[in-house]
Amino acid sequence: MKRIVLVSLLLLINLIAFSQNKFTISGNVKDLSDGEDLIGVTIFVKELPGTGAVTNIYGFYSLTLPEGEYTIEYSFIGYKTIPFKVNLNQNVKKNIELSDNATELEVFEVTAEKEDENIRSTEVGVSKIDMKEIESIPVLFGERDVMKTLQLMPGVKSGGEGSAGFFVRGGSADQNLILLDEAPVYNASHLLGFFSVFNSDAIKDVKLYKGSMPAEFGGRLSSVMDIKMKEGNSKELEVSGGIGLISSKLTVEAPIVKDRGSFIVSARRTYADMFLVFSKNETQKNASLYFYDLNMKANYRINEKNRVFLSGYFGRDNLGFDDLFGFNWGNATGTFRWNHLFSDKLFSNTSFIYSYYNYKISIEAANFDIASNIEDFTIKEDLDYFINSNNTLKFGGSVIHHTFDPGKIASTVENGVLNDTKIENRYSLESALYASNEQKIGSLLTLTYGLRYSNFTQIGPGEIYSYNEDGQVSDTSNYDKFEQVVSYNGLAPRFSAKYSLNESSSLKASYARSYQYLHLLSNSSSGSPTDAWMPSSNNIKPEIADQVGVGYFKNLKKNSYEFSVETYYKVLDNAIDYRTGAEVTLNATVEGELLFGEGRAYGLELYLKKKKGKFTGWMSYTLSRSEGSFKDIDKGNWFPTKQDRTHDISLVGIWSISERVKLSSTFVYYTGNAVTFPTGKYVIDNQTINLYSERNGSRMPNYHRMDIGLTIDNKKFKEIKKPDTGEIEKVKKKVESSWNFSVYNVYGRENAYSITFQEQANDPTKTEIVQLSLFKIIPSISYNFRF
Amino acid sequence: MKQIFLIISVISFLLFFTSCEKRIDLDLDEANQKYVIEGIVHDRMGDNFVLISKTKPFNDNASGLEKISGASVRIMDNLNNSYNLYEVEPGYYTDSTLIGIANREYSLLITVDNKTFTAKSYLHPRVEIDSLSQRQTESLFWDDKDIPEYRIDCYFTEPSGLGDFYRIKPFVFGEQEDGFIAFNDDFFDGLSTYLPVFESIFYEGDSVTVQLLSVDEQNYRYFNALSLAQDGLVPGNPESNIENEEAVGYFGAYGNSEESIIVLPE
Repeated sequence: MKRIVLVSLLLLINLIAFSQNKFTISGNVKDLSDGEDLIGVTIFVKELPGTGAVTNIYGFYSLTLPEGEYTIEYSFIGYKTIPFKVNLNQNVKKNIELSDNATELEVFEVTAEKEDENIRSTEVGVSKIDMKEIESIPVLFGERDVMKTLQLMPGVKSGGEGSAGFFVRGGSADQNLILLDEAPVYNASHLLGFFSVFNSDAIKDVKLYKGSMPAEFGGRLSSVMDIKMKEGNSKELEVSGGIGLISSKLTVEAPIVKDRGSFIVSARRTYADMFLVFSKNETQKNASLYFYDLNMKANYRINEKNRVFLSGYFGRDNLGFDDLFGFNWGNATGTFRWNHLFSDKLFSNTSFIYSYYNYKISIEAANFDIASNIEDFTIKEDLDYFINSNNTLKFGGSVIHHTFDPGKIASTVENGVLNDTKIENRYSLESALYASNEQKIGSLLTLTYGLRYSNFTQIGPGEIYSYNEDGQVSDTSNYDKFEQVVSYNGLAPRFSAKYSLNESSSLKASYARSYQYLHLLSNSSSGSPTDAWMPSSNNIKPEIADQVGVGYFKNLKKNSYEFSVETYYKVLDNAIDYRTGAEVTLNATVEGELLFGEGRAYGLELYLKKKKGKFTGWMSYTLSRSEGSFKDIDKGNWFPTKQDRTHDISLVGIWSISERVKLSSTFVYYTGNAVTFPTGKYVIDNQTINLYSERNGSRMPNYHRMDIGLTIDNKKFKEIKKPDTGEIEKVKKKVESSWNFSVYNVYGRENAYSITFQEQANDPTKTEIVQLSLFKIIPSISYNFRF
Repeated sequence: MKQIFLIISVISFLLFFTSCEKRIDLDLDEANQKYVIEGIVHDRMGDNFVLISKTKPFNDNASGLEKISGASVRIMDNLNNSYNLYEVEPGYYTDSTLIGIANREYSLLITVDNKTFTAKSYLHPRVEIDSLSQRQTESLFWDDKDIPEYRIDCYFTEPSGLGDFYRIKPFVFGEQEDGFIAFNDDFFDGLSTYLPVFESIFYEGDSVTVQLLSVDEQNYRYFNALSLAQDGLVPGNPESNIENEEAVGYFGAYGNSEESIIVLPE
């Protein structure tokens, strides 16, 4: 480890020493039409092939070159490339606005010169989603969803219908760090997993790191899903929205001061419970079932050097029966960010982040409530240092204060049926420091190397238990406020390399270690809002993963096709499971129910994408294995984890029939989840009980499904006959609108949601196996508009 | 209890969609069949027995469970009182003189087919049921039938001091109702309270008997795990207190309080 640090330092010093008689061109790149910052725009120097820069997540770039005359080209997929001639004899500030090709008439000829980002970047195991693509992919109830679309990428697997989670490279659902404008989102699902909390109208960019995550991220083992909200139109007022079968949404964006600041507010609400009035059952009629969410963001550029952002999310699910029972849950996040340019080479971002998740169950029939929450406060500093055209250094640090309220139960009336009981809060501090450099060596090799140091400290106040081998409390001690209970350190090296084989192909390799200090306990197979996040403690060690990956990337036919093959191997330490029959919620001694073991996962991912032409789409295939071993489960034998999927195939096709009509289809197929089915049965208390043997020794039936979607844009242009010349002129309409039709599960496959082994209703001495399938054919329709 | 409400919420959500249930056939592994032991000592006369049988493959619906005859079955307490149980019908062993006494630890010793099975359970004093009461409920998931449905609440006073565990067993006309109810006093300690017999629905004219059993922690864990497994949440064999990996089941010494009620029209 020491050597890695030393080598990195030497490399750095070397680099800095070289720079002399050089000047920097820097600035921001934005979208011409709405002023949104463009992330990942490539900046090339025509005269110096292989030299360039990329805009960061705030649209900022900085490129340092020797004195001279250059043609700088700004290019971005789907946008027109803009060349800029500059005589670089002093530092230059250049802000650029790129125009969107799609707003022009020639929709089918979307060309940008450099579309080979996939083979150029050193990132290994990264999936990006083009927000425009999402619009045309068919989904359940027509509710566009970034998380569901990401699950069509290789190595990313759906947790199944009605499941909150997704699995990345054999990792469990809690190993994904989901960030919305840097704020962690602890439960990313609505309606028990049928929808994600991310309203795609308010989202600008989604990136999923599934392999080697950059050093600026940490705290989860498998992936980082980095979601950025839109900044809002800084040019003019824009209103857009949609009306669907199950939900409606509305987004308003406008400048605060033109070209200096803007805001966006986006709201969405479902109304599934409207259908309940048709129910014959009185109680059902008075039931409620809906969710809503609200995204807000504002930004203001104080001057060339300072810019501030304020963003927030609030979402809530509500479920209730009359005055008998109520259940609501949701997230709230808030982020304040301050961008500051120390110089034209040193970009800083300081963030203050708040994140909150809670749920509340009201048993009104018996007059008591159950509630639980998590609350995080984070301070974070990230710096981008654009040393020279070959080196970009990122460094920074963060501190998070976590408060876990595992649960309380309280009467809502005096002299209730139970005692008010509260499981003590748990407190901890999670901090990190990191540095990472991206370095070009010659024109063929690019390295990214970094180190992340993290610390997790469990602090008081509280009564802290220790447990013996059988999970019984063996010791209890009291701690004062901020008194340290236990502290863990983690040193995580991150490394990735890209070697260009030729203009159209590259080889990449990576290694990453990561530490996870928070763990999700769930006693249902599909995840539920009441699943409990547990911090590392004196009894729970941090989970550690090491992952190596290699990949080959190739672009074919002038970047019309993108192909990649990637493979990975991952080992996991201190994996967590729990004893059979463990009570996970409202249990003060839940840590005694835990079992610790190890895990491993490996796989091969193939991806082929067609990016140009009337027909676009992709195929992805994953062959993988994910296993666990615990001393107290099946005598330590390796068993497949729930997320083990041998085969996983996704096909996506989008066919632009005409300028205004798009037909799309997706097909997914995957091996059924590993589950534990009974081997036998017996009778206890006159009731049939199932006998189980090995853990996850059986499989659910294979899952497959096809969806189709049709998007019809209403005419964007009016044809006006000029009275004087008789020529026909096309005038852009004020309101753009489109219809979206989709059919989920076209051929009505009855996929198994659950399989139960139960007594036959008419003869309890006999048993039967019953499969429940959720969605047969679900058609939906929605109308979207923008003006 | 939480699980029940969770399930209610999941089911209710699914109701709105075109969910469909069908019977299917699956090939299942049939290896490793086990002995099943169910042993109860109550603090009252009768109903103290040991049942021994064997598990059978899940898909076997042809025959009944194989009862294990010819076992030597002995129950002892920690004051060295010992009872040999007689096989009165195949696999069913009992002794009419056996009555459990509170605050004693009971052990079970079974020898059969050259195998030995042992278990221990502590008999906690019974907690008397104060009363049972009925209340009419609205049904959530079915179209309103004309038959009114009732719930029964079991009132009792929980003794002070954490660490008490209970089971509730409802019977209708002497037949035990399906479902397992096991709970601890985490939320009820020292309270005069009630608990709904939430697994069952009763109808007018039902003669209902409810047993409130004081059980030890291992029995609580066992039956709580059974109820979770039955809800389909966590498939797995509950941790048994019988010390032999070839057996499943439990041995329980229970303080037993019983009350009866006849459900009347409201």
